[in-house]
Amino acid sequence: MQLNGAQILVRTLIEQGVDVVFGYPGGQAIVIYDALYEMQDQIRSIVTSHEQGATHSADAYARSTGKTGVVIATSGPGATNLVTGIATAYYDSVPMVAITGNVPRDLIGRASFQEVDIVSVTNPIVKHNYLVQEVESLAGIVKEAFEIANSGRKGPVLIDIPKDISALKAEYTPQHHFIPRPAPEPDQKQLALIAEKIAASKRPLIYCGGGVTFSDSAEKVRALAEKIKAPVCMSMMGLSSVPADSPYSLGLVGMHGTATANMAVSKCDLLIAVGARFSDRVAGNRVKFAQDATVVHIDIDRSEISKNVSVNHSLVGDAGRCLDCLTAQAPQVGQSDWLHQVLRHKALNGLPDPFSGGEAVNPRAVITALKAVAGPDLIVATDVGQHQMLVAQYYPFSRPRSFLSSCGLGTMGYGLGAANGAAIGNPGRPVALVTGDGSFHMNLQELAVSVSNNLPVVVVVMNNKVLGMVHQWQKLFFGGRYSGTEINRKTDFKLLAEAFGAKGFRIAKSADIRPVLEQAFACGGPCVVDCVIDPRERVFPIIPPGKDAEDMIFTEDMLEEAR
Amino acid sequence: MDHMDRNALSILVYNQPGVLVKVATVISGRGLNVNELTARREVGQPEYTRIVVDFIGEMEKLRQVRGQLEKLEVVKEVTLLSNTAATGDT
Repeated sequence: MQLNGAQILVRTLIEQGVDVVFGYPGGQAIVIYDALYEMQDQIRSIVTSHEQGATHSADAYARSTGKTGVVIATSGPGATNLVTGIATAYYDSVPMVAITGNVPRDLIGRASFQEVDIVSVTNPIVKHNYLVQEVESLAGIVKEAFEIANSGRKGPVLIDIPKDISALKAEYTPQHHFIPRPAPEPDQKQLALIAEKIAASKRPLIYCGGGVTFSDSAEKVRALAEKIKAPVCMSMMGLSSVPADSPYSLGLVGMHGTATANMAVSKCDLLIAVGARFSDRVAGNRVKFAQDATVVHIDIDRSEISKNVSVNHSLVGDAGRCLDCLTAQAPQVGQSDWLHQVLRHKALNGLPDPFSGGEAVNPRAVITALKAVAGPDLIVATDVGQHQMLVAQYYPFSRPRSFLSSCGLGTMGYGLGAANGAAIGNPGRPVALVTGDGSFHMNLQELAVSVSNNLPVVVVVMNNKVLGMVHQWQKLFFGGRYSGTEINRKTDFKLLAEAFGAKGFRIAKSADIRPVLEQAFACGGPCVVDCVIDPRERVFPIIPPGKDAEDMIFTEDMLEEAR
Repeated sequence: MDHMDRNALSILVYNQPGVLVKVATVISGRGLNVNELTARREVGQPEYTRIVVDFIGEMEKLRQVRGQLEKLEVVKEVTLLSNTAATGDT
């Protein structure tokens, strides 16, 4: 059957299991959108307010469902607007296929209208990219793009399609669904050595990251933890992998992690990192991090081994497979003084009381109330800043893939597009975006998409009128010189929500928290809850950049004393 | 650690458009300076090109670059060529 390039593209997407694409049409994507129109009963097209929002929606769709996120944009500014979203997906290893239209081949290189060399622009932030040169190669490229995005350490792949190629006809050959390339099998010698280290260890600790979530291995971490009696701490990316109420969970590790988790890193004699990469937000001081421990690193990406922290033993392979092998070989540990000791200190996690503050709205109390009101199915997206860290510290995650946050790149403006993408990928589940007034201002136009599609997204704005995280650093490390952070916008978020066709609510005092959140989740559609927050709220504890657990600061007074 | 030794990477790549810039992006993104670079069609294997890059830089960075080059779809294999036997090819 002869079809044009765009028709081949859309049919191939459907063959790869795609049922929704996020994007924005334009001159060089017009043939692609025409083909989407033709197949609209098999593939849904969500048009966002801005291409960046489309990438974040596709990203969160992928994170929350385990499928591949697909985003489509036109050439030039359409393509460059994808850059932040593609980089966000790259840093957090999210499988994504980005498709851009480009100018026809005979106009490439002539600085034509809306022409940009997006392949060169995206080189450092994709696993692979293509400029399609012949329509005959398109179907194979699309299938290969899905294969690459989903093999090994997952990530984004970009396909740039000149407009003449999307219009040219070729013979259409159906493609099989992609099969991810097999991961390397864990090395038997290393496995045996690691099992010996476990047997010799008195104080083992598991540290898990996004690799656990994305290989759906949460249960396997639990099995290992229970067998060897090791507590578990998590990076942001690993947060929803072990339930917060599991006796083994020590919560978040790193800069704003719990005191229990960070002290466990300092005191352990064996650290088993699974699908985590020892980023500077976890290992602030790369030399002192777990310096008394034998460090074992399990990762699917060989180039991560000993990249940030030098390790003693490593297993390269799928996290789930490695964990299965390790649990099988590891000795069964009975009583563990170490586990008892760590768990006894768990209550002293160093986190401030979420219910202090009297009348004033404590953002921690809002976060803990979310789950109580919306139930355990709630998916929580965040933006970036203080509110993000407070969610990581206080929200009791119980299901993997229920926490959506730009952890590696730290993209302010990620959240609303992400919440929309999660709502579309998980019909019937409630979705909350916890954001700040700074982050929300960056991409709030995506509220139009929440309204158009009547998505059950509850946006909770921690409105403190300042850029809280930088404000906090200025207070702690720059003598209180609040340069550029006291933005004091006059935006009325309740009225803003109504202007978009959403509902607006306000939480002005602590007694409002429960009843207002109940109304917000009961309204069934998108809404914005404006929470009046004191600009002096700080996120504690904090390990200052470059420092380690011993330098953890719990209050502002402590910092004054340290000076 | 041998700080400023001369070291080279021999990178076998697919002979395709855009390959050189992908390799160069990984190298420049880690702050390594290229001292010398050659790219030649691999003898008897026209579908491959061999790029040999001579660096002045720290061995640790070079190892990192090697690992990241190996992840590129356009790269078939990377070999570390070192004039300091002790560092070896691991």
